Amino acid sequence: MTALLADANIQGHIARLVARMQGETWREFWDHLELRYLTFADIGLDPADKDSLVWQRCQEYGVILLTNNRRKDAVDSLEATIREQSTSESLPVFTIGDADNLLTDDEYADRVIDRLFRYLFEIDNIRGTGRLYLP
Amino acid sequence: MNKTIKIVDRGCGMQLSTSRITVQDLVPYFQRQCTYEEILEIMPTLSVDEIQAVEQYVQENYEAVMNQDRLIRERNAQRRNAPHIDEILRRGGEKMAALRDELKKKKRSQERNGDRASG
Repeated sequence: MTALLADANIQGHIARLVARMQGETWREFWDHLELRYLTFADIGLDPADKDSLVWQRCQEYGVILLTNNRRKDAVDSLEATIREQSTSESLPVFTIGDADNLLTDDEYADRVIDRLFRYLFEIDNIRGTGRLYLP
Repeated sequence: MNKTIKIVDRGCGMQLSTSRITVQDLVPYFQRQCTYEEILEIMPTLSVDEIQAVEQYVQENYEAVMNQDRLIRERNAQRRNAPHIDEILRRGGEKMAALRDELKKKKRSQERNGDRASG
């Protein structure tokens, strides 16, 4: 079983994405992987918690964090946490290229979903990759 | 509890002191002139006070904020996964196709069995 968690800045976007992942076109993959969609509260996080704590908690609970791509620097505090603490067993963080587009463009949403499922079907082979980019 | 809302830098660019959400997270929605209700739908953990605090910061630092937005968009357009990731994606796609085939066959088989049972 794998679980997904949306970062605080893309919860509305990911809620829509997850609804689509559970829809007719993609449902068989969602069910097969026994995916779950969690909230910050489900794993004892607060929306104000720092990147390092969010990343650590995701690793403890085996949760994949979905993030947006609007940080100031290429090497932000999440990136620094990944570099310092990630091991070959760590789950990656997924960063969506244009989360805003998920709200309006179903074709784009399907491209993101296809890519995400491809990764999730290869979950053991993406451990230790740090951060992976979705379209 | 009424926390004081400030705009602070914790290593992700300027952000709310009360949330992980940054100024730049909200910029695209200000640019599109979204209402507070629309923003709250997208980022349900925010409060109106927090949105207003970011909005005020953007107004007071407009040029710097928009320049940062441009740099982020340029950087994002160039981000790519490492080349070996393509192979992982290919294998994942094969597994998805195999599962879909298997489920189709199972469904057809169940339909045939159902036909026999009813015939």
